[in-house]
Amino acid sequence: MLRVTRRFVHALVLLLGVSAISFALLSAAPGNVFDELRLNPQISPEAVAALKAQFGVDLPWPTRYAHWLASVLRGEFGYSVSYRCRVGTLLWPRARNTLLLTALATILAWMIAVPWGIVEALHRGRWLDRLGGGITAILLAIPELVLVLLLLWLAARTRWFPTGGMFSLGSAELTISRKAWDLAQHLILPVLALALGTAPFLIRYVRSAISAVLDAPFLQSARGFGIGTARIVYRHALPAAANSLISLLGFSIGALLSTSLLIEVVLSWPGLGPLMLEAMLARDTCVVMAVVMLSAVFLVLGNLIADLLLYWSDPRIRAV
Amino acid sequence: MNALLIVDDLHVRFSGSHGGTVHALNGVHLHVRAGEVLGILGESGSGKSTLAKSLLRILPKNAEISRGAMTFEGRNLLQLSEREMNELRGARLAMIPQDPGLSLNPVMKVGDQITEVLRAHCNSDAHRRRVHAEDILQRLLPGNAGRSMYEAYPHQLSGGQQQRVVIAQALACEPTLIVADEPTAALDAATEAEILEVFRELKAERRRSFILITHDPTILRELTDRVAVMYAGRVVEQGPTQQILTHPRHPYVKGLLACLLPQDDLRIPGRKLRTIAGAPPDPRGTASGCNFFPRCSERIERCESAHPGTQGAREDSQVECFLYE
Amino acid sequence: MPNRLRTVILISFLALLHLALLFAGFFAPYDFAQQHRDLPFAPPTRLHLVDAAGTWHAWPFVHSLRANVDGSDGYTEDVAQAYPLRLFVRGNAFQIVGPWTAHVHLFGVASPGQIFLFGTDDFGRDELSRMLFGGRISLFAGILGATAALSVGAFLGVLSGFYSGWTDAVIMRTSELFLALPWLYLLFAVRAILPLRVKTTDAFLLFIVVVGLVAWARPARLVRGIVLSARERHFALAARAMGASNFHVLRYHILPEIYVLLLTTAALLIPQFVLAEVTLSFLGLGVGEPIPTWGNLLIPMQKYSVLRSYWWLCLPAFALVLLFLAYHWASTTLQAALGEVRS
Ligand SMILES: Nc1ncnc2c1ncn2[C@@H]1O[C@H](COP(=O)(O)OP(=O)(O)OP(=O)(O)O)[C@@H](O)[C@H]1O
Ligand code: SF4
Ligand SMILES: [Mg+2]
Repeated sequence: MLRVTRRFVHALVLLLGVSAISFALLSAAPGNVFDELRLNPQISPEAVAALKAQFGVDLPWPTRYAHWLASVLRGEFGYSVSYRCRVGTLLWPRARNTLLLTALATILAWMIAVPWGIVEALHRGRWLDRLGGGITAILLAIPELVLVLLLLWLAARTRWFPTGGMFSLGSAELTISRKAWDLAQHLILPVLALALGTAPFLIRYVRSAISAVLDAPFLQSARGFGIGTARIVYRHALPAAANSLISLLGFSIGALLSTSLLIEVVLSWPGLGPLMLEAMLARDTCVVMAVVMLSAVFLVLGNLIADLLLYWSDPRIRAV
Repeated sequence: MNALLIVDDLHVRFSGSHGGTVHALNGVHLHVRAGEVLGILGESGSGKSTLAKSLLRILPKNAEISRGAMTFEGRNLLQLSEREMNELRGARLAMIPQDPGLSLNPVMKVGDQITEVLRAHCNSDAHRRRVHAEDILQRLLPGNAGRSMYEAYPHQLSGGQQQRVVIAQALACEPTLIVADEPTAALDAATEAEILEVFRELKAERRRSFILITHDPTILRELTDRVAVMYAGRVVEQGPTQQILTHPRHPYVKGLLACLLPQDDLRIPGRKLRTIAGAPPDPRGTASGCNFFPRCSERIERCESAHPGTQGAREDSQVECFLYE
Repeated sequence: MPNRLRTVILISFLALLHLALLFAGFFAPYDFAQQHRDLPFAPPTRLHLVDAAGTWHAWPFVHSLRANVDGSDGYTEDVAQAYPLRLFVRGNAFQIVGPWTAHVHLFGVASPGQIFLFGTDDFGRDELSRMLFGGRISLFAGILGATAALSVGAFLGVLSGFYSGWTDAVIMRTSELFLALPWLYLLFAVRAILPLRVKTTDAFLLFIVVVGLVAWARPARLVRGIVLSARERHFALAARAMGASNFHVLRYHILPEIYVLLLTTAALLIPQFVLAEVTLSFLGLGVGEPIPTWGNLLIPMQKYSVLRSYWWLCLPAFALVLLFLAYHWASTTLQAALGEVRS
């Protein structure tokens, strides 16, 4: 239990540190949202000056950071000048969409990687392993950007699934179940791109983790008691390899979040990615800051969950 | 010969990672009768564990059984399919591996590791398996410790307890032959005595045969009926325990026992050897003469060029040396 | 395939790729901005050996293109005119390094013939030339970013591994802060700090250096690990060898390991920063028209019509994959070498 608490406190301190650095750097950036507003002829210079005073942009950054922290605690994350609303209200639906995407992609990627990695490990050195290794090597070399463009082409060509967005036009009037079906169709492309982009990396890792365990003396001994290969793999080898696989889970969440940013932008999925890009172009620091922080929270939470899973799965760690 | 297990001219080699080939077994002959305990003595690297793993065909991937035959209960093990082998492993023929600490799955309850063996061979339900596993543990442990141990993980057990769990795994399906690879090597003296007591009881039952691999002549004297001594991948001498321990014939065995036994136990006239000069041959090379030739103090001329065959092959008492032709 | 042969193939392929990109001006028949307004979306020019009369020629030649007479999209070859392929032809001036310029191109055809081996884009610009010039910027970005990340990372990593204690603690805790952001979010966050509009390529490359400086954490941790383990083994070795001087041990045991590690890490980081350039330029946050990079050359691939009718505009994506394959291969080869150095 002590370990869990410690990890939790550590995560909190880490997030505070990240926010302080990001805040300091972003406030030092040249140009801000008011410069962009000033370019807009519909807004008078006096209005801009009033806004500036209201948001206290001319205060020193520690003061502003303290204000920002207070507004984070209220769940507001500051005020977005370009969207004219609290950042919090902007953030939650976007965060939910990104989470939906990454969670589904994580599941799919692991569902591909674990069986594939196991088969490769069982056939180590033989042709099936070489073939699989070759395919993963090529997939590994295809950047996600190219991958998603290829999938986009496939989708446009076959018209099997929609090529962007989250819902079809006019879907607001649909019944719940039809709406869900519509959403599912829109999910195919981004989830596939994300999962295919991450899976080859996972496959390699799963293969080496399972290989290492298959060579362990306790599995040799289990084989010596006449336990069949299938049983050895899922009842003996997988739990023993869980340790390193779970550490990878935390890592893969980071990679997926990162890729998701790009894929969301290309496929106009209304997640954090496009929000970040728009906010960046509008120099809306508060929104950029909030998205950056949220991505850090996701990553840290992913690692925390992986750590808790480790605690749950490995009796040796539990004993400490 | 009505033996339970006959190993004939067994050769095993490992292909090394850097191209070299290790000849771990170079023509092993031995046999085990029903109800008998055969001891195998040999220094580190002589191929004892390789022999044990070959019997169960659980050698690592880089190993190859290149020649020979192993007949167990009348069937040649080398001709069985992997499935037939799996029906045998753990059920008729089981192994107690060298290091119990490494041989137990660290993330599985030890009780489950015993029921896994039962599950592979008998089709009783989960509850019956559990009761059975607890019974075996109970038998091997003093007091009421067996039942509580079922839920433990390997790292929570002492070395002696771990060893008992591995023994329980091996006993679970009542195999006819158990190969125990240095069952007491990793234990302190007191625990070693306890484990030896377990083996003594098992031997007294005379319900199964054992191959007992060890470095320790005192274990041999107490527990075994016959002894085979290995050197550089071959059995250089085998015979009834009493005879081997008191009247060894092969020069290597004499030297080895002189190192291992107190002087007065050994009746070898005129010898006061404590260590054997030199080192075992490099297992990657192949010598033309006797493997022991470079270190042998009784060598004769022909030892260098010719290999001594097994003298008295298929007899209960064999020695592999030109001096006894 | 024997290991040595594989290594030779790998090295020559990488060398060829880098030379082609470095001397893009020489290998490219045209300037990246030169437009052929009458030939937009021209397909790759075909090299012929047989002329209209059915006679074989020893040397390849090309025909010029004419828009279809029936007014449909596309071009037909004007078989009446043949222009033989020429090597080392004089053409537009291009910059080699700094103030040095040259006129000689690897290949070309006499005007008014045109040669577009990879076709042309919507302005009739030669795709091959744009790919070569674009690759130069992308690769430069990759190397610059990796160098920045690696030098800061190696410095802090060695520092951290050598002075364990509070120096180590501070550096490692700080590195955690930088690792707490998913990579692309970190990239965008850094990009958000820099001016939005990029004036020149040089300015953009400077951005990439800044991005590289922020990515120091992972290399630093790797180097620290190596230094720690090497130091441990160094003590063991020194104790065993007694006679060997410290310098000898450092020179022959620790340094080779660090070199190979730095090379391995570079092979991993260069593609990562090429990708950073590609991502930023693709999204319009990097180098823009008319200067090509592998990032903005991918932009047309978002249009369905391009993917359906003008497949040659997808070739930059293949070039990218090829570069990545080569670097991945190099990194696995180096990793194996690292394993050998250690044992
Ligand atoms: N997986 C392997 N790959 C290569 N060589 C091996 C392998 N396992 C064993 N060997 C070699 O085979 C020979 C016999 O090893 P083995 O483990 O059978 O010896 P042992 O008699 O059991 O020794 P110990 O008393 O130390 O257990 C040794 O030379 C060893 O180096
Ligand atoms: S055969 Fe010769 S060398 Fe070998 S043990 Fe006998 S006497 Fe010694
Ligand atoms: Mg052994």
